[in-house]
Amino acid sequence: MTSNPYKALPDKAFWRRTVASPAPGEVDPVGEFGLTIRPETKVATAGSCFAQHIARYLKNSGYNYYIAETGHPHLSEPALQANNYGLYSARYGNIYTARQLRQLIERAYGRFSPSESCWQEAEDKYLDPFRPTAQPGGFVSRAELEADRAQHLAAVRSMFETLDVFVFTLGLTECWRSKVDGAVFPLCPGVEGGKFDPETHEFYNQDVDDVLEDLTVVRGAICEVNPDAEIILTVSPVPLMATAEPGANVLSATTYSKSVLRVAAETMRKRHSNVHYFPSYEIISGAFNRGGYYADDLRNVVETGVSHVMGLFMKHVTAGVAASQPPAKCSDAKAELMRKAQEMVEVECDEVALDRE
Amino acid sequence: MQRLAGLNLIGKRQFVADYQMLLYGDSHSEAVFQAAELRERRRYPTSIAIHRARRQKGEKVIGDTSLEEFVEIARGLSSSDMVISMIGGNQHAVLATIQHPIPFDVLEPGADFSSLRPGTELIPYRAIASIIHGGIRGRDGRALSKIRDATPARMFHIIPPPPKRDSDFIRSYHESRFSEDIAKLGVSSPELRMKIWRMQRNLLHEYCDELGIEAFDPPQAALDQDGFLLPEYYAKDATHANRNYGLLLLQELEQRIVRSNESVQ
Repeated sequence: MTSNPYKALPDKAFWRRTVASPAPGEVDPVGEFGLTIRPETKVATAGSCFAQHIARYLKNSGYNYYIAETGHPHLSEPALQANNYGLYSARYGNIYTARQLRQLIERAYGRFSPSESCWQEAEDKYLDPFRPTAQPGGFVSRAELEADRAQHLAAVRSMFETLDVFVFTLGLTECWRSKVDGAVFPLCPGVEGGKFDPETHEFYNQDVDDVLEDLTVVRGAICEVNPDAEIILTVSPVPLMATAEPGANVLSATTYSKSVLRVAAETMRKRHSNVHYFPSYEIISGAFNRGGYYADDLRNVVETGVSHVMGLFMKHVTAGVAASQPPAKCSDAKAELMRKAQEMVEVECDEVALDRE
Repeated sequence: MQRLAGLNLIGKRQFVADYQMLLYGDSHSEAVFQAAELRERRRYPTSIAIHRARRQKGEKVIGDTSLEEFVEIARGLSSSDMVISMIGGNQHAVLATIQHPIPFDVLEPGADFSSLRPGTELIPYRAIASIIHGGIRGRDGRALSKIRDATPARMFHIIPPPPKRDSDFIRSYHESRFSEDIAKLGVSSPELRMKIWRMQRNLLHEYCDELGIEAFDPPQAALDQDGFLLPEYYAKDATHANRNYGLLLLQELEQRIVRSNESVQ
């Protein structure tokens, strides 16, 4: 037998040995991963809805899940959650496309001011077109929306300038944008708010060049304010809910979209030493699990799938360094202050009868 | 005068109206109780029975009537009678009396940037309203709803008195009554106290409308031009109103009842 290059390759290079033979839960498609997160590393997240799972696991892992926009400590934990604080590192909601992320950074640094900046739904209900679901019930006025947006964008700047690792989950290539200035909306106007107007809104499906350019601009902008930042890209395994690509079938459109994102992520990884790729997409959609990581709707990811992704993420990214501290209980101080305020009022209430005239 | 099982004032009244008026409440009811006592002393008694909600606070029991007991009493009333609630009412004070170490502010519907205090963190209106909403519809709201369900009587809920503008008054009270760590936090701005009180007032109106209860706003005569409680109506603490305020409340309640009876006739 003559030698050939495959002879020297490790098991992970062979389909049978690493994909077909192991039990599904043992499959590990991580190729190279040259980044280690330590318990003190500040890890920020953004992306499409699958990124919420990553955020949730990091939060519960004892690692330093970095939330730059925490919400005021007066808000209880349930109130913070209900108002979408901590869902991601800042209250930007889902960021589905690379263009959306690029424009978020441009907006945060004052390089882009979209002309369509507010959707009024009712007399006291105003939505931010770039995060229409962030504030349940909407903002009570345009002034409040703008004040909250200014606060939000300040938190976004702070996040990019002080994070150690930024995990971005690429979700879609299809987007809806303004014909006026190219501003990309997370959701088609008219779905969660706003009014769809064919005169001013248009569908756009990004290609590889678009996504690569956007990610390159994003990386450049992050490195400009934070030269040591590391970036982890993942691709969401969640298929498109619907496609607006003319004439397309949603399954084929999903394959196109994920392929573009996967190629762009790989290209970025190869071009830049501070960009890494984690194969969430492969773990969930790989044939080895025979579709078992998808729910009955063949779209949402079940918890065992998420656990598999995050188990491997923690294994490779943390290099086996266990977090020494349990998840930080930042709520202790705020609970103490509320307790004092409550006590103050209760003591008053008890003693009011002593002050009879 | 000792408050016994609530009906003590009714037992002593010299003037008997053709309806019964029952009040059930927490600490804010003290102002009305004192006012009714004063009227009695002046031989101008009030057709009202005042029940202070019985609450266990650690070892201590405050009040004279449990909710269940009051519900049973209210069940026996007729549609020409009145039930007045002064239950709870201090969510706004818990949130906005002590100065938070991270100063915050809210923008009310219709307000512009100029009402936002510089250097504060904005809490979205609906985010903080969700906390007050939860408080109103928690124990206090369930009590209101229980009473409403039990009685055919006309029912009012008295909106708690508005905040006091005088921060020094509140600060000196804190310094004399509480530990250093509360006192040193200071007092939040009067404007913020007013915004949070107004939020609570609006949410209470909403909830009362849902339940078929008439929300009763503070007497205009007790307020300054910006809606703060006038100093002559301050009780000697941060949040409560005094006997004079109770007198105004009684007067306005009686006027409201007379007016609506006249309009029915």
